[in-house]
Amino acid sequence: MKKNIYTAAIILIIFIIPCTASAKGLVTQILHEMEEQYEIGCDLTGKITLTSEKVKQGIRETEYLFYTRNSDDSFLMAALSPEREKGNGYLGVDNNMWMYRRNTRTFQHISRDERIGDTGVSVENIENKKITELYAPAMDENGKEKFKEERLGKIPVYKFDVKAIVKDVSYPKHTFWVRKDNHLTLKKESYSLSGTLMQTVYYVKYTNINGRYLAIKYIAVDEFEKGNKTIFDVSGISLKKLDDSIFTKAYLENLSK
Amino acid sequence: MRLILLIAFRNLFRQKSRTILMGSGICVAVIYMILVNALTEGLYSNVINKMVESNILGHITLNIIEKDGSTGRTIIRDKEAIISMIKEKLTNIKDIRESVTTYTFAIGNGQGSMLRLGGINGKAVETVSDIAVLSGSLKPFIDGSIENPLILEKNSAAELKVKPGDIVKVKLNTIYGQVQTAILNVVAIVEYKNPFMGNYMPGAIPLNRLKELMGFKQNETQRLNIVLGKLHKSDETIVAADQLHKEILTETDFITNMLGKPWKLADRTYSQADHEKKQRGIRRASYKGSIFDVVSMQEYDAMVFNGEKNAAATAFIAMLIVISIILVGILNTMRMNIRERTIETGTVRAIGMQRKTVIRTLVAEVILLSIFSTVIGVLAAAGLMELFSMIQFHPTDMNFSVILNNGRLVFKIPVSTTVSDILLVLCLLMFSVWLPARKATRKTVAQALGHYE
Repeated sequence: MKKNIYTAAIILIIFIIPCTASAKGLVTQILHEMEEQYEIGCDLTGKITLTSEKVKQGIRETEYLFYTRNSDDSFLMAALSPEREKGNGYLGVDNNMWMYRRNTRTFQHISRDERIGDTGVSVENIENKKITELYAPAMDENGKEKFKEERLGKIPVYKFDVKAIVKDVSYPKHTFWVRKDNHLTLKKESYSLSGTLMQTVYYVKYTNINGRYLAIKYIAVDEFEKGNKTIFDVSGISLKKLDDSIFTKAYLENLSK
Repeated sequence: MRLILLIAFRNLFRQKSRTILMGSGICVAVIYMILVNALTEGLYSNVINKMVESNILGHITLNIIEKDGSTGRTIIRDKEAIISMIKEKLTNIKDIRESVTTYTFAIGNGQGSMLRLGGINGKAVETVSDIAVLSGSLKPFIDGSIENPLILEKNSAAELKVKPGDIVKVKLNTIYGQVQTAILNVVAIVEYKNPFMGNYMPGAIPLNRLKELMGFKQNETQRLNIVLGKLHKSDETIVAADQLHKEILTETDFITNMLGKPWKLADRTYSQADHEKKQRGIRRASYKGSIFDVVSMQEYDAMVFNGEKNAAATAFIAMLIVISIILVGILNTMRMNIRERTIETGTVRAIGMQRKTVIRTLVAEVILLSIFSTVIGVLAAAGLMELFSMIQFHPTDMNFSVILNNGRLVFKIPVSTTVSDILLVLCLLMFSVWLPARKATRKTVAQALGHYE
């Protein structure tokens, strides 16, 4: 009887457990690792500069003061310049997101796809939502996760697709190019529901904070309206613990005064 | 009474020129009243009909806002069940139509701009009046021979720099917020004679295709426009909306079973400002479930309905001024007539006619004259309306074209208003004859007979 139990246990170890692991393949592993790496693990304050370049409109630069709380991924952004944007802001607490307009002194509920200050960057890019909660790896005909090994310039990368598992995301499909050595994203393409390439994001610079990574510069290129792009730049990073009162409507309203 | 009428009738023929003069005055007043009322009513019923015909609005609109906490989307999941329920609850229903619109970012020939897209059925395109095809053809849209056909209003086409045969790339968000794109083929550039249509639907694609792009399933839709049967007054839509609102509450179990989740009914509002406030409240509310909102057309476009009231008030004031001038003329003629007949009044009283009978005779004279003049006035007004309706205008100005139907003026007589206006004028006339008549009969017979002008 005992012998039978041992045999069953050995079969389980040899066959079933590796099967489960292969079902959650390399891409899932990379996604989890990406999530872990991008989880700063502390509160963060910084200045975000969005440089938006649009056809026929030229270049426009907007600066935001940015706070994010580690415990619940809340965030607050308040525009510092230019003058016409100053005082406008965004607040994300739990699953609620608001846009504040200084002129009308009103808060308006927004969704993830809301563009920040008419740039190519949306609120979705700012919030610290776990990628595995929104997307899952694309599978091939055999039900295995699809990925390719290639080079992006001179850097060896994994290229793989992820598909949305929830409806509340702007892009139902992304293609990632991540470094083989540390799994940092170098390039991301976003596709519309009908499969049209809408945006390409090039991650130019990361900074290392307590062993974790934060993308401090990336370029979002609009592939639908050719010629538009937005450069996202983070500077003046501080990791001091933030007061809970910051992540409130009242604080955002006060900042605009 | 018969004798009084006979005497009054005879008196009308005694002074033919005066009778004709006074009768003409009354006749002109009646024609003016009917034409002004009919033109004002016709103008607005035309504007409203055009809005309903082109599915810009329904007389009543049903929205269901599906809230998931702070976010929400307007979607009717089981449209057939909802349509059946509405048909069961409201009797005066002519049609219930799906209404689906969305904002897109469109790129034409190198030029990008916002474009509001509306969904419309191929058959409906044929029935919407006031579409003038400037280039291309509506045929591919109607028969579906071209994939993703797009009808573009001329200003949008100019902005996107496209012509029939070109393509327009559009980017839109599905009801769930996902980015969607499509390539649309321009089949026709049109001019809407109805400016409301131009604002509402500068771009039109087949309804089912738009629903598909926006992520609606076959049995889902954005909102339902309810078109009521014959309406006598635009305010009847408010009564019907109130009734539907009340009836929805009686179907709590049916709706709960259908939706399978919590729902509530938004309060009714009666002005555009209140409706917008309610919508803001719904947007901001954190609720998990569906919110039913019954809206009458008055709440969507107060400008049109306020315009209707303002135009009616302006027409009424203008009518009062003109009628007052006409009435003053008639009154003076009446007064002169009665003063001139003071000796005659003394004579008939001397041979035994009572004071009251004399007054009644004079009033009866005016009543008879008014009745004849009114009948002639009504017939003349009908003739003139027919005549004016036959003239076809070819306006280039949108503001003028909106009041026309196929280039023709529209007259619609508001029966109760017109009848009450005519009765008011007749009462004033009778009162105006009664006063000098009473004054004339107050004199003694000797004074009346000795009256000298």
